[in-house]
Amino acid sequence: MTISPAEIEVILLSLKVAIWCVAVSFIPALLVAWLLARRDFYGKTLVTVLVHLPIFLPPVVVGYFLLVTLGNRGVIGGWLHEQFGISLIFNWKGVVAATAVMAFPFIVRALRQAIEAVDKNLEVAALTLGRSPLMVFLTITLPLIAPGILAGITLGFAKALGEFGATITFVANIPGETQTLPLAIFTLLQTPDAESALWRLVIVSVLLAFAAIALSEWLARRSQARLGGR
Amino acid sequence: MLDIRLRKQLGDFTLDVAFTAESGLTALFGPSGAGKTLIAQMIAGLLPPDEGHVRIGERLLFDSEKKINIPVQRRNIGFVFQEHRLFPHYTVRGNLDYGKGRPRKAGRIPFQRVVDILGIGDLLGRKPASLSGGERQRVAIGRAVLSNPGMLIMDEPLSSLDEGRKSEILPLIEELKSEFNITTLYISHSIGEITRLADTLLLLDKGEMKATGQTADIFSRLYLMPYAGGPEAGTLVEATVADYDRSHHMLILDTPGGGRLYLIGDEKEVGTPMRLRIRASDVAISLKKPAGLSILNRFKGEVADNCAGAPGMEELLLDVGFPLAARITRKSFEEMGLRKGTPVWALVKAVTISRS
Repeated sequence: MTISPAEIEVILLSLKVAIWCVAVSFIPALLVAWLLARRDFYGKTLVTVLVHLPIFLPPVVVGYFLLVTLGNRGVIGGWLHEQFGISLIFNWKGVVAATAVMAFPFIVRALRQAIEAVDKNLEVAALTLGRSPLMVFLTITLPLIAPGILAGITLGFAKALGEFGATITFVANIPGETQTLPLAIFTLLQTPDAESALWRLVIVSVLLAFAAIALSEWLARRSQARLGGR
Repeated sequence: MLDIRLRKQLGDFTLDVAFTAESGLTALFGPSGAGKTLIAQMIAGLLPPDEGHVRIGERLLFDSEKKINIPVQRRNIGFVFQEHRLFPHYTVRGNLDYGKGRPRKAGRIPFQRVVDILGIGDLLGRKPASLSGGERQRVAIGRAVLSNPGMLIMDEPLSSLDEGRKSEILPLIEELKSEFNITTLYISHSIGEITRLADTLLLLDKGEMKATGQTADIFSRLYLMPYAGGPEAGTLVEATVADYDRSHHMLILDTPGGGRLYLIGDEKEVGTPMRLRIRASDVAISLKKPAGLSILNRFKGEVADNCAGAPGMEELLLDVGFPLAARITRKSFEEMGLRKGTPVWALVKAVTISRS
């Protein structure tokens, strides 16, 4: 069983998109998760609903919204295009945008649960020892939510690898540009006599999933060990 | 040194207190629900008062009129909580070092000395999860002291520990107090801890200050009793060593009124001051000069005051050259015909007197 250059391109594009997806969403997700876990503010319910919307909407609908807002004639997309010459349409950056929006609520949920589980009393104790709130967040809160960060990253990564509906609606299915693993598998399903290529990509998907789960389990165990024992 | 006025309304509960305290260790004493922890939190900046001011030395930390409210991390107040609150992901050394970035005016408190006093030198590389309860609280105390605070608040630091651990840590707090002389507010509902540590006592009940003053003075006043908590109520006596009876392993002390006080103990230099606690329930009363009794401590005096205590009990304040609280049954009180001014002998078994 050999993997063709075209298939390798699909795999690498998928990994690149997934990594960028997590990289782009992580800091905003951390900020939103912290706000939702620790602050009461006007419009909190609205923010909660907006963040979680992609979980409940059909992905095709999310893709359509992206097309309307981030397309070259969209409100945000048009501005990006005019000011910076950045276009998200029909290229891998658009795939990152689609997967990031779809993965965002999952990352936020994982981080929010982790932040809510941190004993606020420890943060208060750190303040009484003279550290600023930012330092307390960096030295106490962040290390203590490390398992939640791992969970968020893994979930976001998995979501990005598997995203189909929003991506195909927003940036179409262009080999070498926007064709990630699920899109390539979808194409092969509709191609006659492509059984073996189809199976190769299916197996790669399963292996990637196993690798991601194994890595996150291993990291989670390591970070757990840091809290206990000598 | 400490100049505090605080008002806070929380539901039906009103806290309204004002007090000043010199440097040294000031104990805030009262039953649970009196508002002790609220006061500590407001001084430390963890909870905003509705009204009032907090001044430590020259520094105004909070003033509702001048709209001053220094945030917690800049108040320079070390806090030892009821629970240890150690950071689980740091080693003991990491916890102890956490507050060392704090700016200071006076010299830095030496790390090694604090570690030695608290006996935590062997624990430095360990994580809090592997420590015992007593060890954790010792590290928590060390962490607060090593942050070089201008003031230290200890909010019932021993309440989560069993008696054995308490009696281990109490002398360490005493030693830190005498070595580094950090202005300390010590919150407790344990008389034993307070009589041992406190220079000044603030007595709090239902959100109000009932009394403030020197610890020994306040303790001898009868109205402390309802707050002083059942079986532990008693009197503090300041006495000085007058003699030592080596063959009987017995210290002989002069009391403020001139009477002699006997107690079991190791030899001490003549003139050494000692602070003793005599529980009210350990004091017996006789109308005649006692004879043929094993009780060594016999003080002549009179009944100064009395009030009804728990059902069947009578609380007396005797004047025997110094104030002495006594608790007897209502039956004895009536049968002996005791009233204010009745001359009596107070009897205290030497074996019941404890060093405070």
